[in-house]
Amino acid sequence: MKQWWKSGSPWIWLNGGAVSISIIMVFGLLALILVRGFGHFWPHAVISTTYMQANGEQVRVIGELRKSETLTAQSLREAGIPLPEEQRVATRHLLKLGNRDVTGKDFTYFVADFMGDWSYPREITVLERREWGDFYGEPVRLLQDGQTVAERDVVWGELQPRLKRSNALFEEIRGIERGAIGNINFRLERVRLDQRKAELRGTMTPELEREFAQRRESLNAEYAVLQQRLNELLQEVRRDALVMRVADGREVTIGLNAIVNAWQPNNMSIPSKVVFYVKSFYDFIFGYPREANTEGGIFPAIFGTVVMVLVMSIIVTPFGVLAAIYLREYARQGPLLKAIRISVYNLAGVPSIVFGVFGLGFFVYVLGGAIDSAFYPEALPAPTFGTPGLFWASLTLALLTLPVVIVSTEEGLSRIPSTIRQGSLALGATKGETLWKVVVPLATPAMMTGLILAIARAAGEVAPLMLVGVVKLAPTLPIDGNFPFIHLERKIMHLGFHIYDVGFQSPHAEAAEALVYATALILVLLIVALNLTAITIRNHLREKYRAESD
Amino acid sequence: MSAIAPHSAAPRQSLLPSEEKREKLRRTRKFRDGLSRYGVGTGGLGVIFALALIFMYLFYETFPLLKPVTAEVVGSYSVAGDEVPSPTLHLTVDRFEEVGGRFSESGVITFFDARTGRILSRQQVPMPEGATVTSFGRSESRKSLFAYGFSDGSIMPVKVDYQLTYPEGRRVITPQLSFPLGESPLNLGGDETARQFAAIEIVDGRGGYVVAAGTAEGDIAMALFSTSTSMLTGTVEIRRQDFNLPNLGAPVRRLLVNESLRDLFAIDTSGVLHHFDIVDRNNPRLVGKVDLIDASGATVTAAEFLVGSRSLIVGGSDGSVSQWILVRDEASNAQNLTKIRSFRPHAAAITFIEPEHSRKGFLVGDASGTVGVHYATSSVTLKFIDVADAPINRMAVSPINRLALVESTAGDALMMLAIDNPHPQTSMSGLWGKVWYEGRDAPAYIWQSSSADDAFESKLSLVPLSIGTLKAALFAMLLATPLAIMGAIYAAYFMSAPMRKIVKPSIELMEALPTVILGFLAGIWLAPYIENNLPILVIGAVLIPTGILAWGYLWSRLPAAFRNSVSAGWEAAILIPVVLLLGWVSVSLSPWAEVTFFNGSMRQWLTDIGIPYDQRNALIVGLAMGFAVIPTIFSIAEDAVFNVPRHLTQGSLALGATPWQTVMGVVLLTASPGIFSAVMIGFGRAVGETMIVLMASGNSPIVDFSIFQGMRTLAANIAVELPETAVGSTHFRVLFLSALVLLAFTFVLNTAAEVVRQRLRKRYASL
Amino acid sequence: MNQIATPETTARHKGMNAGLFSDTTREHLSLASEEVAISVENLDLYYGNAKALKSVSMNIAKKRVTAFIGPSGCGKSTLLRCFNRMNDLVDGCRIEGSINLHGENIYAKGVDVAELRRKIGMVFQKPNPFPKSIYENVAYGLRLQGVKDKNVLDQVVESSLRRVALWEEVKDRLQTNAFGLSGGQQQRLVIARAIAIEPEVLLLDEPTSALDPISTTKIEELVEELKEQYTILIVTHNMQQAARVSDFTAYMYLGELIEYDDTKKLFVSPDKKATEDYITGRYG
Repeated sequence: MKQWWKSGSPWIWLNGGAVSISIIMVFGLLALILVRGFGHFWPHAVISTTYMQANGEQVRVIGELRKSETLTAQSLREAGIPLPEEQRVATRHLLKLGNRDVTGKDFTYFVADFMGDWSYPREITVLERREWGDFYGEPVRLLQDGQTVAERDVVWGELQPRLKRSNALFEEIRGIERGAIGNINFRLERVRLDQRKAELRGTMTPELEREFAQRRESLNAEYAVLQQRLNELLQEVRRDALVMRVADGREVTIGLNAIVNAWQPNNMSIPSKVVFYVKSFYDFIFGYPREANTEGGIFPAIFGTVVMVLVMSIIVTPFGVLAAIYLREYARQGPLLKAIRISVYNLAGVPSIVFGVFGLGFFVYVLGGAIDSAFYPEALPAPTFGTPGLFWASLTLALLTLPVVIVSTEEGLSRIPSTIRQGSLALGATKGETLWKVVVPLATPAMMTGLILAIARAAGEVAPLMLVGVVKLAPTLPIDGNFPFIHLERKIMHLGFHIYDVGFQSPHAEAAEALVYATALILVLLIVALNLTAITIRNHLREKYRAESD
Repeated sequence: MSAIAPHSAAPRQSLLPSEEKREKLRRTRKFRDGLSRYGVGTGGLGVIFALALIFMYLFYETFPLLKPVTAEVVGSYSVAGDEVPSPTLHLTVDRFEEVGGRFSESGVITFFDARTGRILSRQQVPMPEGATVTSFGRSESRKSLFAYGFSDGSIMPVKVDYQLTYPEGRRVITPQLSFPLGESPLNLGGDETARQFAAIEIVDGRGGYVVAAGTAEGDIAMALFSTSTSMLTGTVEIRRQDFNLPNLGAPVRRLLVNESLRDLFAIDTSGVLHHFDIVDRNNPRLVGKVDLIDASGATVTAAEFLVGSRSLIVGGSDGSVSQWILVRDEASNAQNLTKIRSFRPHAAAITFIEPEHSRKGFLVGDASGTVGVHYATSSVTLKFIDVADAPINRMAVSPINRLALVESTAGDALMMLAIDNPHPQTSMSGLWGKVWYEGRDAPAYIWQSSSADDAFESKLSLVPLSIGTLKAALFAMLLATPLAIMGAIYAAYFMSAPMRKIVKPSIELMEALPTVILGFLAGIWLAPYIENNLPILVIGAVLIPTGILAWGYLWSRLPAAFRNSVSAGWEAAILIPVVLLLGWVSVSLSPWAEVTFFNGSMRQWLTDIGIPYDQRNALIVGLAMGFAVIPTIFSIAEDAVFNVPRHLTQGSLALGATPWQTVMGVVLLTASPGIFSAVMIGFGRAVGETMIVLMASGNSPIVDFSIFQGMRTLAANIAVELPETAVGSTHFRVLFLSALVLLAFTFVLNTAAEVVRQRLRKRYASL
Repeated sequence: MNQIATPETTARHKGMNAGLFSDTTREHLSLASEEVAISVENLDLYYGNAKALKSVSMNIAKKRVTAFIGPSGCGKSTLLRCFNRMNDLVDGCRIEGSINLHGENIYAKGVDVAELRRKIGMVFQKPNPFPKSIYENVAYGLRLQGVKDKNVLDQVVESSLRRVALWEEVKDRLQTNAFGLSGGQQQRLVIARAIAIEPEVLLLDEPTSALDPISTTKIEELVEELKEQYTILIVTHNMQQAARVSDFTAYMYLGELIEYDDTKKLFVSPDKKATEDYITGRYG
């Protein structure tokens, strides 16, 4: 033992342990996100049981089991749960009861000791609603214009086609609201701005004024037609309603227009659960958020993240590459350049929030303000570019990731053997020709690596975006069918900010938790994929040049 | 020879383009080369400039904080007086600095152009027939409420409003008089005997208007007017209650009632302040008497509330200026008026005090004609300006605090004093020192930047934020440093090559994980979990290292055949299941430990022994941010250790040292600068991290190093507050200052680390 | 070397050197009777403050092979790089004196360096093909000169590759990456690349030092062949190689040109003691 101690072996084991702990932390964290994130979409079984309340009353409880935990009985006693003094530990279950509008709270802890037997009745139906979260209960009857059309067992069979119909109608309504009416509003605003511009420039003439009035009138006429169609559809969609019995036996009527989806989890086979799973996952990725982002999909956040990152790439790539080429190929090497290089590299370690502060102050207020007064005076005092938005967010992130691209490109350039440059020069090529025809093509993979790393960093960055353009709910996407199609001034949604917002600022934190895990999962998958690509490219490159320089 | 180039025998004809063509091409090529050179140069320098711009711009935005105050007399004019010239009682300026008002003793209010003195209108306050004005009182400047006391003992409250209209797109300001308590003078006090008042106070406070007046005999009468507007008719109904206060026993010089209508301060001619508690209005109570002026023989010559009426500025005949607030005495629970600071004294007796409108600054005029610009929160005297040769009589400062009108006793000319004093609060002591704020019991470091109320005293001490930043970073480093450095030593020196190929990308992946996800998990999952299972940390910290050691010893006892089946350098892989098992044991032991040692709940136990516990605290931040910092430190330290030249270690091994001795004696010694710079860079990252702190700490700006309490860091503070602050305000600039501090701090840290690393690389190359 | 050269050892070495020239028919050449391609006049070269070449003056004979020998760091490569101004790329490198190509100072103001380098091709110590196809490697210089015609390119690529005896080996894989070739093939490719743009002078900077003996032989044969058309300057460490391929040899030491003469003359009966010490291996 003494000898073993003296050999230093214990220290080696401890050092090894540090690596093991780090590895466990990384993969444990990934596993946690994977399990919770993917678990979100699975149609979990719904429990029906009874619970003895503090006053001795038995109540029926229907809900999904969210988590179970074992606590010391003492802490529960302190929380007012009458456990016997001699009991030391107790288990409690968190059930999702849904029915937020009926019962007031949709998540409740139940101490196992006071729960009755659990059963899984097949007829329990879960409704995903447009408002108020999920609904749990047993279907009683189906109404059409207030008349019963189906009761008890046949309700379920009758429900599905009617739900499909109401959802189709709802899609149409939303299509009109988002698409056609949105377009008309956009054009009306355009008319207003054109008119204001003409007034500001002093080019307003009676003819022009008439023209504006005419344009406005035709748009209003278009709007009236749409509005009428919308009213008809709204009438249509309210036709059917479903009567459900909730846990305590009350009957609640829910219009089918308020229901997104309905399923009977205890009555589903594994394959149908899988189908359901895939569909929910799809809806999550391509759906729009509902209810302060705590329900529905995250499509605008994914879209916003992607567009922002793309715009950022377009900005950061040329500038990062040019700067790297300048530093490596053109600038006079010396102590000054070395200092500049170290400084540029070190900006990668500067807190991202500082870039956000700079972006808000300089880009938004200084540059944006100048752009507004030069190009958009007709919209003032409402700012166009003088307010946080997509372009400023991208520009700020471009600045933030510039060092990443520069470092990576420079590394790539420095790995290119100087003999290749000399070979080209010796053939009578100018420096520029050598650079663009030989050196830069060779360094492309390194630039790609830098760009991918920059994208991965930008996609995960949140703090600066909170200052320069990300909002919790953007009414419109930054790219749409209205000219000029890509709207750089619009505010965007972002996956990382979505996580922060829904996880920490939402009124229904518990209901949103599962959704946040799923969002985190998407973000992690995106970033892991990007990073693995970059790492692979880089390792491949290193191997290639190592073989060459030997 | 003939095998090589059989074709070469024939004379070759040039296939290159003709000389002229190439000459022409050469010119375009040269041009393109120049284009490339200048294009790249412009782009490259542009980028470098853009990055330098960050520094410059942040500095540019913070610079106004340091700018000294300027104040100068930019002009003067005389406002034509009344038909019979009469002394000025009061001056006002509106918020656009266009209209000034002069209140004369004759009861006439003259409104004039504040730039030229041209008279705009002249209005007469209703006065009882044959009476003269004997006293004058005003409420806080924001309220624009005044009261005249007449020789017949009646009092006339007057309100001045500035109506804004935009005929033909131009702004026109029309001053108007209104009479909130009726259009005729009123009498104070229960009895109807006419008394001449020496001092009048009028307040529009919480619960109604209070008018108080004191006589030269020391009597004080007070009335509370509560107004209510009838819902049906829209008429204003005024209810009135009258009260008398005990006689002071000395002539009343000044009366002050604060906005909360809880306290009345009566200052007598000897400079003693009588503090009455008037909460129970039927039974006003004398709380205490305070001698406001220390110097013997001196007396109080001016006293005004600062905006919000929570602090009293007192000026004495000896030129002293001091600030007094009500401080609650712990023992007696009484509110005592306490002097919290003195300002630089004036050379002559104070004649007039004019508080600023939306912040805690004030102008003081003295008998030598000097105006002093003071600021309460930062306890600084910003400027003394010699304005006149005669004593200052009256002053008015505009609601945006940029223009003051000053009148001396020498004549009726008004002097325009232009003041540029945008950020009086940010002195060194205001940002970094302990400050005694209004409503506090003692000086403290507080960050509390904003409130909807104008009269709010913003508390901009950077100390709590800096301490929070250091605290968060420190706890993160406490976790990350040992794990990362030990891991790096192992990975660089002992780990087998195939395992490195897995471990290194994993650690890089760890670095790439968005901190918003770490913060989210820390806040939503880890914080509640740890709160309910606190003993895990204690058990884990003991059990895991001992378990690893025990396993290592056990391993050395295993049969050699079995041990050899695993090649060296895979210890870490073998340990993974062991650590998992130990972790599971820690988790399972936790409730048992709570029951056995902590009476069922460790959290409660901590609270009971006097350690408050926040769910989101420094511990959680330390764990999450430690996770974020580990890869940074790991990869740099690993690099440093791995690149230690092999011949050094081989030399040591050849001398008979064990691998561990070699590591301690040679490798670590050589690589220590690299490891040091790794720790510095890690620290820099921890200092600037925003999202984790935002989500996993309570964001409470407290000065406390307890591991179980939260904090607010500079970075998180910026993220929370910057979107909501007004552009260009002091708060805005202080946030920029904190960004600049962060930038400079991390930049210096990183540069130092980088320089150390480069030196080290050079040393390796020479070894 | 501390060892003092005795007459006997010198003689033995001399005999050995004479053995290098088994081709006894080789006659002595005289520099004076050669046509001058390049003349170097009082060339001084500084790296910062260090003087790397000291007042070098020499005439290079046209369509002859001139070899530069000397110990490492003697400045022979530096001198070679002066001929196509590759030293321009080195920071802090400064030149005094002049080098004249056909009577024109290549260091004069306004000289187009790119065109100069076209006229004076260079081959480096290590083969440095571009990471492009074999075809593109050879066509690279032509494209720079504005040749766009595919037929011309094909023709020049083929003839250049034939001249370096690489055509037969690579004609079926012209579009494959040049890195796939062996070291010797790469070096010949690089020579083909250099001659494709019709230079007048070829600078070879230790062209065989990274190659195996067979490839070395091939390159040497190629040099022999190419001198019919080009003025060739070759820097070599290998004295046998200098003796084998060159017509004239210059011995340099510490930045100075010690002796410059007909190769056979220099090897068999050098004028200077220092030269003799070096070529007989007495110099370390």
